[in-house]
Amino acid sequence: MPKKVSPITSFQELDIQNIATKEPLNDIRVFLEFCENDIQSATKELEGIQIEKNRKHLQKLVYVNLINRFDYLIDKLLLWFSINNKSLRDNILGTIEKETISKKEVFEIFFAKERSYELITEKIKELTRSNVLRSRHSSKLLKILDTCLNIKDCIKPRVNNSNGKIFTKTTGNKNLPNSIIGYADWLYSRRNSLVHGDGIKYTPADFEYIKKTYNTTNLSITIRLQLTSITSAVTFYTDLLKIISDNIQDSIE
Amino acid sequence: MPILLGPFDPLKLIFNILNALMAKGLLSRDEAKKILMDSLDPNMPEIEKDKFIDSLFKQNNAKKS
Repeated sequence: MPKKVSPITSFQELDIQNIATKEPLNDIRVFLEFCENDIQSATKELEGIQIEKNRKHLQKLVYVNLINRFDYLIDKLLLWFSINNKSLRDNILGTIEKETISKKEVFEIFFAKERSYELITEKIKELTRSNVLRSRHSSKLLKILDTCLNIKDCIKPRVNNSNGKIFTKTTGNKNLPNSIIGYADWLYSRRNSLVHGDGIKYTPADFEYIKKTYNTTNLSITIRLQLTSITSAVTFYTDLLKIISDNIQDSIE
Repeated sequence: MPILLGPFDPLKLIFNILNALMAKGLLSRDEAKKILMDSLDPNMPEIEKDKFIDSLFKQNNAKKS
C-alpha cells in the first residue's frame, strides 16, 4: 500500500475543463510572458539611453526578436489548428485531394494501430509546414482568424495606429494599414526591412504589397522605427492573442 | 475532437484519477507532475514540459475535508 502523503490544506488540482485547448493556450501564455518579462525590461533599459542614435541598434534587435517570436507562435498555432480545426484541415487536405495512395501504404497505416493516428497527424503537419507555413506572415494570420476562428472583420479597420490597440471598429487610414491583418503585415514588413533590407525603407516588394492590398496610398517609404514601435507591437499582439484565446474553444472540430 | 477509447475520454479519466488521489493525499502535486511529464514527447525541452504541466493545474484554495 503506498505511503499516504500528508494532507495539505490547499491543493492544486488538474484543470479538466478545456483540456483540448491547453496546448495552444499555453503557447500563447509563454509568448505573453516573454513580452511582459523580456521585452518590457528591454524597453525599460532602452528608455534609459536618452539619445536616439545611441539606442537605435538595440531597438532594432528587440523589435526583430519580438516580431520573430510572434511569427513562431503563429506557426505553432497553425500546426495545432491543422489537426484540431476541420476548416483548416479540409483546406490543407484539399491540396492532396487528387493524389493516390497504394493499398500497401493504407494497410501499413492501419497496421500501425495506436500509432496510426500519430502517423496521420504528422503527415498533416508536414503538409502544413510545406504549404501554409511558407506563405506570407499576414496570410498565415488570416488563416487563423478567418478560416479557423471565423473572425471576418479582421480585414476591416480596427487598430489604433498610434498605439496598436484593437477596437471593434475604427475609421480607415490611407497612411498606414489599420485592419488586424494589415497592421500585422505592416509590423512584419518593418522587420523584413531590418533583416533583409537596409533598415530604413521597406523592401520594394513589401512596399508595393502593402500599398495595393490595404489601399494605403499615402504610405511613406521609410519605416522610422522608434521605442514606441516596440510597445505598440506588444499592445497589438496582446489584444490579438486575447481575441484568439477567447475564440479558440469554439473552433475545435 | 478528443480521442476516445470506446465511450471513454482517456485523458479526462487519467486527470480525474490523479485529482482524486491528490485530494486524498495519496499523491503529491510533484508526483502527479512527474507522471505527466514522463508521458510527454521526449523531444520536448524540459523547460517547456515544466511550463506546460504547470499550466494544467489550477489554483484551488479549498480546504480538504
